[in-house]
Amino acid sequence: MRREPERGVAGDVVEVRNVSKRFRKGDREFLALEGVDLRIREGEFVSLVGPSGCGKSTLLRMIGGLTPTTTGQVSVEGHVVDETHRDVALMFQAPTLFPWRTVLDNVLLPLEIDHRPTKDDVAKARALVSLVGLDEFVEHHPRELSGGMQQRVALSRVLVNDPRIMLLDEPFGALDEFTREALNVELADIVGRGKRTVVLVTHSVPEAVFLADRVVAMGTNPGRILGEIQVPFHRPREASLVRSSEFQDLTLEVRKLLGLE
Amino acid sequence: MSTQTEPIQPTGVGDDLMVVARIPFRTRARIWVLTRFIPPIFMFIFAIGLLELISVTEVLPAIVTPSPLTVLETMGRQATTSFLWENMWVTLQEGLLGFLIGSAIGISLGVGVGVSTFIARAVYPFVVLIQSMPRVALAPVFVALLGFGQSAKVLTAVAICFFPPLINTIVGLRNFDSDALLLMRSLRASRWQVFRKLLLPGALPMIFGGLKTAMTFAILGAIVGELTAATEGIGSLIDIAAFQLRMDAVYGYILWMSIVSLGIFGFMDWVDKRVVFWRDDARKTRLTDQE
Repeated sequence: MRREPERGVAGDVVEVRNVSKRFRKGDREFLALEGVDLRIREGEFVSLVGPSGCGKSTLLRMIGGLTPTTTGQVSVEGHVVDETHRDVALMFQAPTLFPWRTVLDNVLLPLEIDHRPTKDDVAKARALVSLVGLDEFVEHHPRELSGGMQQRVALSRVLVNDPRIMLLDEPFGALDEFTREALNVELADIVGRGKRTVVLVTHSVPEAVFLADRVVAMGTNPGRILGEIQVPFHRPREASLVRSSEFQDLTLEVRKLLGLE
Repeated sequence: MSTQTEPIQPTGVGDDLMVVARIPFRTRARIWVLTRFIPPIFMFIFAIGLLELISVTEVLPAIVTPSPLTVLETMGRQATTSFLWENMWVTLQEGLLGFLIGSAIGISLGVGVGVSTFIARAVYPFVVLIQSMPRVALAPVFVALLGFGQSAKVLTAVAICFFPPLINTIVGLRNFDSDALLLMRSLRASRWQVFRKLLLPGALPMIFGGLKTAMTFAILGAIVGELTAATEGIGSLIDIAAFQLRMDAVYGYILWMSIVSLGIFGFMDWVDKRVVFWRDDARKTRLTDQE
């Protein structure tokens, strides 16, 4: 990451400026993203919602420095992103745990990449495992856990590095409805406490609204931002929020932006 | 979540489920045992009976088809001689040494091919060439090269057994989860860390599979080497007995060798289940995102 003087509005952690991304498939070129501008404030929770092929995952990976932009620029903390950087932590739809590692060792992985884990590191990892309610499973292996429990471990692993920005790529997309809702409430709770910056990619409008401070609606052909909506609900948010009429109205607005209504 | 961790209640006698199920669990278990073990036992008795019949009726020359009972008798006699075990030990030494050297070569080459495009390009054409070669036929070459001692047999074992660990290491190292690699990249893991923490452990189930095959091949190689030219080892015993038309002794040696090999493979399996305990984990279902 190259050092550059701070630019943009103070408090913007992520700044995406006029970004486009072209992919080549054989002879055909296709525009995954075009003219994307996005600013994310410190401590803000932003949901990117849209159908498959709208480039939301690509955008997420660009912020993480995992995919280069074709044109335009992504800055994180005032520095232009041109490779992977330590400010972010990634979470995927699949738990992506290492089956040969115990729950604790899986959570420790990010620290281990950086340095030999200290006693404090281990204590911290343990605390995070108990934060997601898996105390009794610290020494278990992933195969002994259900899908939802595995995704909780993945969540602890994201948190262990104290990342400035959490990038969540449909983290609960592969789980059943019940587990998904329970984990969303937990995620809202954990994030609300830590004042973290979070970018969430999801297909689900209610999920996007429930978790975020701001919902960014995206469309396809080419992948682009259609519009955005502020979510005024304060935290902590309870599961019952989704039944309120304000919540229903807001999801309806997002659906309109997406062209679903 | 508590529902996920609750232990399944054991079903015992008098359980309601017993009334519901048309066939009681115990009977089901018994049926399972029967259907599992009856067929192989039946096949075994049938095969032995057929051999006995061939031997008694002498449809084939009696000299090449000794009765199974005679073979059993011979095996009993062979087991009491130190002769059998000394020669078996010679063969095992050659096989095990060949296995160790062959696996070491196979795995190191496989790792080289797996991590370096340069090594992959340099080695791969020869890998394919060697694979298509009838490597058993190299035994006389090694005897000519190294003489009648054990080293020619070890080399034959190496030549035959290095291939499965090699190919399995290559395949295993390529068989990683792309999200896991992305995760490692986002954590800024070094190439060595990616290899050490993701690729290598991920390849272990495949590598161990290759090692199990290599063990079979190594003992095969040692015996082929001994059959070519040797003064000791199971292969040479078989050679001599066959020359004397003592077919019962030939079958006896072969069966003893099989029994000992079976023990070794059982041990390999045991080690395998402990080292790569995650082998049989269900592949997680992954929904593919088009982006």
